[in-house]
Amino acid sequence: MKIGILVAVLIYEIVVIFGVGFWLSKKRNKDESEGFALAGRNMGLFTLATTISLTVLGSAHILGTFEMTFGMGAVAIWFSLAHVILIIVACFGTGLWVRRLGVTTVPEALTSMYGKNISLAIACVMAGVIWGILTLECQGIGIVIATMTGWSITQAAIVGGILGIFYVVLAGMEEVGAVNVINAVVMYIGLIIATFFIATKLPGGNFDTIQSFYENENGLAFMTNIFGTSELMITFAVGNIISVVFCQGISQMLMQACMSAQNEGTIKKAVWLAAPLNGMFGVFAVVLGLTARALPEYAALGGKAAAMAMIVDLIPMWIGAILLAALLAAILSTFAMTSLTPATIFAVDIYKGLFKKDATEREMATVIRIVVIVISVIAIAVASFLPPILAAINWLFAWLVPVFWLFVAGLFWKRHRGVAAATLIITWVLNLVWSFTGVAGAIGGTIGSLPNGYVTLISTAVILIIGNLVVKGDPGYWKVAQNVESKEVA
Amino acid sequence: MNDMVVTQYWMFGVMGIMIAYGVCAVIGTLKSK
Repeated sequence: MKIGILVAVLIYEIVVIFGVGFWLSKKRNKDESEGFALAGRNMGLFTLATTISLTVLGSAHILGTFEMTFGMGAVAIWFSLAHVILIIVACFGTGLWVRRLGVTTVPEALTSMYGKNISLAIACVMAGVIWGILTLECQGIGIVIATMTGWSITQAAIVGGILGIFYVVLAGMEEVGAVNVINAVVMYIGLIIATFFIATKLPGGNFDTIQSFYENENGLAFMTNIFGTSELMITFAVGNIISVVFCQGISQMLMQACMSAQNEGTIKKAVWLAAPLNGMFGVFAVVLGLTARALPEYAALGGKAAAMAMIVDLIPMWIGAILLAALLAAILSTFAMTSLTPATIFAVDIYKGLFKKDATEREMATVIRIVVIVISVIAIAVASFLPPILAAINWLFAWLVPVFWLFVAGLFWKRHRGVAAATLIITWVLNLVWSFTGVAGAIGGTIGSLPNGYVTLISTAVILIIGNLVVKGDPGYWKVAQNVESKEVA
Repeated sequence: MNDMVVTQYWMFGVMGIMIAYGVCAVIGTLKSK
């Protein structure tokens, strides 16, 4: 048990969480007295770029990249590069469109395009996908706590999950968002400092010995190449690009940042800062992952724990404590968001939307609390299966690939509820077949090992294109909403 | 390639939540008609 680090981490959490709470309450009082709207569309270039960059920078960028680098080498950086492409797509495409539409949420846009039932079906699948991310956050808390205490990841995940539930109940949504940005900044700087400190601890004060380990070890030379092997490029790198770009490309969190921009020009300019800021993060995570894999004492701990254990051992305690604390707080914030979102979907779309239309705010709050506790407890139980983080994220994101294309086709081409329903149902059924039956194994080879993102992308493209060509449908949303657009731009 | 294989039990968990939400949505839609 590393008592010093444990105490430092606790102090950081208390200072950041209570500090942010205090600052927000002061800000709220000031804003109210001066009559400012809390959510104006006036975010400037620098704030927007950093918000976009940090919003999509999660604990998976550290823990997931460490784990994947351990198994497959530098090709793991494509998880980060996929996010760079995502930011470009958001800043030159989807982010501009939602800003122009003038909507507040993505489901709002989908409901007005395809009606309530399609939107409800998407909400149900989205709840499952977000809950899947919640299980990964439980595992993340487990890894951080295990690093500090020496417990097994499974035991630590159970304790961490219970801590997470308390955090959700205590902290408000606004606080969770603010804490996330602070922690992303600390995590970013901490990881860079850790990389340099670890280099100084290696023979020669640089990474040359690590490089020669991979060159001399039989069959591991591909691990220092970011293009890995051709099979890894097809299955991992391109698979990541498909699922990250086409799932996160219309995610509420990222779109919300774009909706708050001053104007469309600000969003386009933000890409020049947001994309490199996000992409560079992966470089440090991959370097540390490769280093941990090359040092036998840490390699023996396995992919999930090796790099974190190395960081805590080799860098000065205060930097290690700050990095772990920021990481833990960031995971707790994501835990809060990923447990609150499915609970809110249930309360708003299902409970109030379908069962009890006259539900009071108080009843809704009780429903949200109950759902948060139920789904968090199930998540803690499932997290003990410890799936590989990045593979699990890609599997989850693959579910939402058809939603991205329904959004794009609905804006620019054609809208038809039947085609939309067929696209979703057939794509999701094929996704299940690919996941749970032996079809992929029977096909074998590179095609058989393609991740689910490929399946959902191909299925969506085929059904949506053929469907829209065959049926009449309504014209694309843009074509009938030109007046809305000109009003918004003005 | 074991790194890319996601445990089936975990996938069943995700499916369970999707199905539970879906069943509630279908019952709710039928009841509200």
